[in-house]
Amino acid sequence: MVEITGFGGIAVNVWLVWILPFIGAAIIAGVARAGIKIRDYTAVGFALASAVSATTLIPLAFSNSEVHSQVNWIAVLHLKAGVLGDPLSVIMANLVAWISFLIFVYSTGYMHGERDLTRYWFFMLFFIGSMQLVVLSDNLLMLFFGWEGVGLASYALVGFWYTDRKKDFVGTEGHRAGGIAMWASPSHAGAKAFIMTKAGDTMMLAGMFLIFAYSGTFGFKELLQNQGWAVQMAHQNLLVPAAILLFGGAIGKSAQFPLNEWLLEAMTGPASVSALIHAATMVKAGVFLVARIAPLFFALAAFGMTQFFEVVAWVGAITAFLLASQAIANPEIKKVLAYSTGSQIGYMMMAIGIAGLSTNFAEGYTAGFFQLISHAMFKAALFMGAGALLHVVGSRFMTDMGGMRKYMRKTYIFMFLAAMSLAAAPLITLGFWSKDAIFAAVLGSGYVHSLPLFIMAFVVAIMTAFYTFRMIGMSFFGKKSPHLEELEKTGHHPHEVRPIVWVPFAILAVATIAIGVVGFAFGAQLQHIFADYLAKYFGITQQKQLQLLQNPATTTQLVKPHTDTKLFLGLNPYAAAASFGAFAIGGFLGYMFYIARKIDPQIISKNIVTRGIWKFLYNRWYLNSALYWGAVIGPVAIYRIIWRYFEFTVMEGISHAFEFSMASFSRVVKAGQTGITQTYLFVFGVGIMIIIMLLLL
Amino acid sequence: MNELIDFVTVAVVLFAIGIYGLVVKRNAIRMIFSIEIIANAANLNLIAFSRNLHNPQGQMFALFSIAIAAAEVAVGLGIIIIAYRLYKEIDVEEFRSMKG
Amino acid sequence: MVDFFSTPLLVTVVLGSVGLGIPVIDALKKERGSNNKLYSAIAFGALIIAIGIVIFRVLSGAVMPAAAFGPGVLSDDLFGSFFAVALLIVSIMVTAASWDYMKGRANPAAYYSLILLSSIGMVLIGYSTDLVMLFVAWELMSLPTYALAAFSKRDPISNEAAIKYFMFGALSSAILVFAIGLVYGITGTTNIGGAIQGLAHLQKDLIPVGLLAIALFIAGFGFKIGLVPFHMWLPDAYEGAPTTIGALLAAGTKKAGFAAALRVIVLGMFVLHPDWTFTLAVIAIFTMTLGNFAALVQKSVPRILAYSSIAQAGYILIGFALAPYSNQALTGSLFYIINHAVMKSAGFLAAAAVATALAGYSLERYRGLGHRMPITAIALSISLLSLAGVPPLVGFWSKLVVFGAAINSGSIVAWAPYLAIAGLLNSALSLGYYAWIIKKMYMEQGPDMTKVKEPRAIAAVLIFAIIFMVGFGIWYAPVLEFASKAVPHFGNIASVISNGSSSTSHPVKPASVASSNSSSATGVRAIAVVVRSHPR
Repeated sequence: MVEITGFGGIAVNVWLVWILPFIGAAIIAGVARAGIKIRDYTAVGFALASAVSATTLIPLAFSNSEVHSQVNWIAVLHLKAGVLGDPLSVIMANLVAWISFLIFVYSTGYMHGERDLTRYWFFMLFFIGSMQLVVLSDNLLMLFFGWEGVGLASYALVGFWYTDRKKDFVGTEGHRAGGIAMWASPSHAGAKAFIMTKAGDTMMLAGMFLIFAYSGTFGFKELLQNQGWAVQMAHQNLLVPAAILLFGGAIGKSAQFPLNEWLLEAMTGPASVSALIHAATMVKAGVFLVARIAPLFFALAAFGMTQFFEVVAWVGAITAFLLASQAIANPEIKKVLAYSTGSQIGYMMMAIGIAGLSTNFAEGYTAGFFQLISHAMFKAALFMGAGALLHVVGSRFMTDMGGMRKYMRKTYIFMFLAAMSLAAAPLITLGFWSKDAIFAAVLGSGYVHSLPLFIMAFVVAIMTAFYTFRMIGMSFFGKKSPHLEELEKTGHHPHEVRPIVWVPFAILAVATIAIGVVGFAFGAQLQHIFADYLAKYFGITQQKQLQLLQNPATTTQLVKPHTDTKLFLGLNPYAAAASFGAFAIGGFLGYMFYIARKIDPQIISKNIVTRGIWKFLYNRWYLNSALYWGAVIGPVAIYRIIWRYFEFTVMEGISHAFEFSMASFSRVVKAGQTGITQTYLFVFGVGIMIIIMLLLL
Repeated sequence: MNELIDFVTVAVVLFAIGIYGLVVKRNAIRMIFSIEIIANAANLNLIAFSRNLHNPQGQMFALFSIAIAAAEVAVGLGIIIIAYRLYKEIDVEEFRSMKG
Repeated sequence: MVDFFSTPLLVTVVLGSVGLGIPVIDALKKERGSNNKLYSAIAFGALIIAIGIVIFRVLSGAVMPAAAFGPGVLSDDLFGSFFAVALLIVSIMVTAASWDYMKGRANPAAYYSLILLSSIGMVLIGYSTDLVMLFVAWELMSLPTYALAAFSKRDPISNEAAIKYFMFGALSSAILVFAIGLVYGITGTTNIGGAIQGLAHLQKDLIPVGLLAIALFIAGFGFKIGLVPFHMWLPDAYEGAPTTIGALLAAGTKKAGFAAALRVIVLGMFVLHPDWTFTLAVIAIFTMTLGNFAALVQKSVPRILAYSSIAQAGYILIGFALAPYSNQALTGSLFYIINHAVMKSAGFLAAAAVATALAGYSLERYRGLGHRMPITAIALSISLLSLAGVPPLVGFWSKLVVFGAAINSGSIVAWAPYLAIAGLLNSALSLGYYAWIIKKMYMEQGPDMTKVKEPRAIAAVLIFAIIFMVGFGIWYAPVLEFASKAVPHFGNIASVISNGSSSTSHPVKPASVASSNSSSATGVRAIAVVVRSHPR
């Protein structure tokens, strides 16, 4: 184990990973004066430099070591600033860094010709610096700074096209649900993203300070070492609430229920932004936070934290179901991907949650993280491909596409590959293995309610396969849409995008298949790494968990030691069957409806029941409307009344009086300064006299 | 010891005269005189104490002080000359364009 | 005897030789008075060498830890080095800014030479351990500044400012000599350490004389610092002097005043009268309040900055007033001093940039500055926000430490928390006029909104100041550590007293000379005990 204080050796690289992008952001405005190309290369260069620094840390993951480097920061509160490079953060940092790099390369092509790109690059660099800060910081406070940084960057980038041109909106204009507009401008979407994540952040801050009050520190390692605070908090039944409050931040940032609405409208940002922030990195920050704190809480209180893990698991499951159902009904391609992201993250939360509810913590933990890795890869690829589609077609609606596989072969091939991974096509895609790992974890846990969770997960997998095939079918198969025909008439023939645009997502798509082919080994290796990590740094081993479960003091009714299912070829047979089955069912339905066009999707509107269901899903379960009525329109109306009758009358009066008295006093002082030297000297003399008297008395 | 009291009394009286002159007089040169009077009162103090304590440090400091006061006055007079060139008078009470 | 290779002498030699050399070079040149850039560069180089020497010696450990006093005339310790660094930074900033400011003005050689010579004085004040040395250094610092204040010969305002400054300055010098004379008279020595020892064993009837001397010291140093009621010259002088010199006065000489005050007043009062802290506290409150209120109704930016300086001096004085009760207090004051030096210079130099580019000081000229001169506007905004105490800039941490010390001392003296409350209220009040300037710059449109070319040298200095204020705002630990090491530990005083004391009934614990903070605290409390029991 490498424990370094200060900056020796490889510790510098850990600091560099998050500091380099910030430096890039600081100088980008100046560099932009030297030329557009230089600016773009500089931005990509900094992303590359950060990624390379991250790569040098990979050996740490394999040798199960960590680098912990600290400096004195706020001495008065005994706070140190530091970075922690352990297997978890090293893997995540690399994932973030390399995907960011690919997306940066993609951006140079995708955003070509846009105005204000300096602002774009500034916020992109600021973003990856903040994200790496979240990943690598060794204490909750610095993590929180990074957290806020990604929120700020997200707001700025979602609202990038703040002039609110019609074509940058999201949603269908005129579509209202429950009286609330379901279409949004970029500036509105940006504000909504910021505010909703703030709600989560407030909870997180409350949790952080609660823990700080009892423990006197924010650092992860310090919290693990001196466990007195946890015992105290558990005594006062505050430990679980504090953990749930921290999870509140994750709910906000990862767009889980009930703070999921912002993610859909965040699609007003450029596709590269959606790929980076809303697929691969920022929304994963919530999962990462849970991955950081879950072992900590589990190590401290083991089965005393079952409530917390239940909340995590069920929120994840509910979100997965909620959003997958909405993805089935939506006509915009980026929105489908956004729903899908939220849903997949639900899977990750569910997996980590279930880890705390089983006697094999490592299994669920690894499954969640495995899903994070694979999802980051294929979702980023899908968003980038969707961006290419949008760009060429000139519309965000899948109904305006159709038959594109003839014109955009490369985009089609790679998006197809990535989509198969999302749908979890058996055996050859990474998505299959990660989803299978989650199923296995759920089935293999000893949680008494694992069956309902599993059924939900299964249904979600079916829906995922379905909407994925739907998306591919509507965009790439079928007849040309009227919109496309019009485009052709005006001479804009749909064409393939430039290599600099499709190569980045091609790389990711191919990777998801390439690693998918050996996915079983990859998953096993990952589990090995994490099992060692959990055992070494947190003392969480299977034997220990079984012991705790047998101990009457720490036992719980929710978790039972499970009987090991016989493994078939190393796989849990039920899980494998479920994975195959979900893909088969969902895929078959999707194929029939949208690819082979054997069944016409329009039959939905014919039947009144299905039409009703479809409308319900299309209107996002009316949750958005409820949110606006309850949290915006209602309080604003109440406030108007208060303002008219209280604030306006009373406060105006007080502020006038205050202003008057201050100004008079200032005028008196000003009058004293007469400008005449003798006066000054006289005052000087009198002053001396007074001081002498004061002293002598 | 008696002598010491006398010297110190004279110094204090000079100090008072200096302060009076500084506050009351309006002519810049007269103000500089007053400041010089105060400085010399201090010097007188120093020399008296030095004599009383049989310690040359006081007289040494008095010499320093005289030299420095001379330099100070030189600078001050330079400023006053410029003032005369600009305003054609050196009545300090008239220099009050900056106030408040 | 002072070792020749000690920091103060090295700095004196470097700055002195260049300072005296520049006019010689100028005399030898054919076209006199038009080589502003050359002299600016030479002066800048000399100052950089000087500050390099100081920093090098501090980092290489050749410098003693901060001592309250020493046997010789100069003592090469961290206290002096701290002030040397702070004041040389100011001089460097002023000299660099003068590259642009002095363009087209007469007599650049004399200007830079005077700045260098004044800097020597400022540096030596921190290192002095003898009253005579202190006085000579004080005058060396002040005389050039009188001339510099009047430097715009054709400007009647500059002249008026200089006259007021000079009158007060000369008066204060005379008062200082008188005070030193009194101290010398009752203790027999001009060495600060010896004087303190003498004051500790004073005969009963001479104590009023000692107190009179301290009062005169307060007047003498307080004039330079700008304490109420000795402040009245300050707004006119800072406003009228050329703006770069305003920076030198506000950030440089004012801080030197604090340096002198610390060694003399604080240490002196330690041994004489335990209630002097209350006097200083009262002065502090008046100072900050008057400064802030007066600034609210001004129309000229340098004048606002001048009143703001008065108020800031009040905050710093809080730390001095609480010196015997809290270790944090003096650390906080020193920390505030170095931060304020940079903040105030940035403010005045931004005003100098506006004066150079737009030829005016009135607040109306600043409308729309955010668009016209972006770097200047940002630097001014950051320095104003920092002065107001907005986190995460350096000003916030400075106030936090000082006010925190005030609150912590509440357990010892009852009125200490009121100082903190007054400080906080005043900070809030000050935000009123700081934000007003910022608003004018960013949210209002001037009559002419064309972009103006910003003077490059001043812009560079301002960028340095921004990096300092923001960077050390985020990571303030190194500066705070430097400040806490620079505070002279008072444990020495207890041992000094106990060596000669005879008539105390409370046995004094001789404080160990090891300079851990806690031991100096017990040393301080021991002194308080001693003094209270001292028969009067």
